[in-house]
Amino acid sequence: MTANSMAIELEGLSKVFGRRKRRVQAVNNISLKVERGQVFGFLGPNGAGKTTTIRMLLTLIFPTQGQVRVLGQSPYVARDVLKRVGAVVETPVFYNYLTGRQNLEVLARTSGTNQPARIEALLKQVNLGERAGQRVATYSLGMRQRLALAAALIEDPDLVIFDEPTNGMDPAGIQEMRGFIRELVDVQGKTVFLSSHLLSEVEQVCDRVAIIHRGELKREGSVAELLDGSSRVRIEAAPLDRAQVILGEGWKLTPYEDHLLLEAKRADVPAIVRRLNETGIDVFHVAAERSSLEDYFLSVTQGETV
Amino acid sequence: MVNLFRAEWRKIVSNRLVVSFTVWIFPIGALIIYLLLLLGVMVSEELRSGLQQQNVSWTDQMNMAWSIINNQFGRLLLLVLTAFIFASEYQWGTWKNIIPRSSRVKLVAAKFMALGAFVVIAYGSMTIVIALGNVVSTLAIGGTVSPALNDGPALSAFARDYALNAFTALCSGLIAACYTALGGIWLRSVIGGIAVGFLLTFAEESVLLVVLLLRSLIPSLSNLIGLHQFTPGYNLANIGSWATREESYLPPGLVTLLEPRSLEFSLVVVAVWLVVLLALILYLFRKQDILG
Ligand SMILES: Nc1ncnc2c1ncn2[C@@H]1O[C@H](COP(=O)(O)OP(=O)(O)OP(=O)(O)O)[C@@H](O)[C@H]1O
Ligand SMILES: [Mg+2]
Repeated sequence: MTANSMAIELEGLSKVFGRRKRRVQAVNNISLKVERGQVFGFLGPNGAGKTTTIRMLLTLIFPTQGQVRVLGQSPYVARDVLKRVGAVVETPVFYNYLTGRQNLEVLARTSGTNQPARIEALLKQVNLGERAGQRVATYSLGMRQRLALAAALIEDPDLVIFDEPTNGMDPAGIQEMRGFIRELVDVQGKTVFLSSHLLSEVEQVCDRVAIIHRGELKREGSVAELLDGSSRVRIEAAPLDRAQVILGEGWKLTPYEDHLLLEAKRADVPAIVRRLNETGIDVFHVAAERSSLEDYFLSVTQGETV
Repeated sequence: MVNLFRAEWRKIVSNRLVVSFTVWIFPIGALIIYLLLLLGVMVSEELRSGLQQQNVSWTDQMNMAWSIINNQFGRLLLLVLTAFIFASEYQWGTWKNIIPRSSRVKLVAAKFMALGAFVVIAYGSMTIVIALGNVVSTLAIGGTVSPALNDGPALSAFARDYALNAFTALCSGLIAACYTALGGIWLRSVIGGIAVGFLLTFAEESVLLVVLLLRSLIPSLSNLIGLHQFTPGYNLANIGSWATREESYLPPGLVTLLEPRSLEFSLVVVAVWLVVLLALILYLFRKQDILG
């Protein structure tokens, strides 16, 4: 029954902090389904409500309204389902006076397991092998991120939740992290839910994306869909006024001084060019404008970061 | 639960500063005092004869040592350790790592178990050091060890007293620890926990004063004085009194005003206090939003 359930389901999820004057609606009526076996991006600017949502998935905070289901069960009712979830929430923190290895041991034991061999393997995998015997107090932010990644994977979870996983990592580390996340899904068959405020990050690693802003879900779909969905095609042709009339029959368009902008998908380009050729119009330049996601993300979030 | 307990144990025992000053200080302090004493009797005739006259039995000393948990010094260290165990996860922001890994009730239970283990180790090992120190220094000044180590009846009577002393001391320590844990969780701070721990201990001790004061101002409220008999402090003293003297405890000067209470009464009152305090802690913690 749980084998084919969703990895994550949110139903009308809301969270309000504070009362009266200090009331903040951090998450507002979010409904979302995340299928298994993919990297799902949770994209939003600072203060959008990403961390708050993730905290509710992990029972760290209690929803004001709505339902959370993880791997088919409510973690608030069937707590044990969280044993199959690994997570890194916000900036990683550890017991600074313990070594990296001891921190992982303590966390494993807190989960009720003792697995020194797996911990060693994970420490190697995240390139902390040499520093694992040193106190976490001496670690850089990037090293703590790696340790957190190892911590999230100790129990070999089915669902891994990362809250801004590349925060504090160097470019090489980010690259490595991306590869690692894809491997978790493509090779190991896990589901990854990651939050980010960086579109480029989400675009490069995610299969599906939800955009949230000010606690509300603005849009959700596959990366391809969102990139392609309502993209524009830019055309330079002569004579431009004739091109405008002819293309206007089939597409919505906006004329500019030396070009036209069509609301069309990349897949429409051949048809557009054929139509112009048939009518004897010279085509100088055709470009499917990339990334309406970026436009959308920016238009949603412009000047509105907290 | 064993693994969970070991995780808590590790977190506490690896924090050298905290564990040194709240746990190891007890046996090590006792050891240092006895070493100094031995050194003293070797060089000073005066000290030697003074010690010979005093002649406190090792069993009495072992029993008395448990009462340190109720004096200011022992209480402060207990509150610091408790507040550290329950509230430091807020200040470090580490609750977010462990709450998804275990139920909140179990996490609190493991913390109480670890706290109990450390307190038992601290006081238990201290009383052993004290007994050894007493025996060694008695032998060093040429005295006779009493009760003798082969005095069966005396030893079994002592074992009973010792267990009882340890039990009442641990109960009163547990109640103070509950105040502190409650404060630490509520205020999400170590210092806050210590402050609340002290405040509530103090409030409990002032109940008697307050009711006496009220009674002298408004004589019709004289029945109020019985309130004092519902505090953990009174009942722990009463349990101790029943166990050692087989009579109820009445504070000096109030003998005529208070009703004698049975052992059962006090056991029930203490148990109710513990249950209520633990329930409050769980109620507060189970629905608490973990933010930082
Ligand atoms: N404990 C709190 N009390 C009051 N408001 C809070 C609290 N925690 C979060 N908020 C508010 O809730 C909103 C969402 O915060 P959240 O941390 O979920 O954002 P985020 O998307 O994770 O942002 P970032 O990219 O900066 O991490 C913000 O407006 C924030 O100020
Ligand atoms: Mg965040």
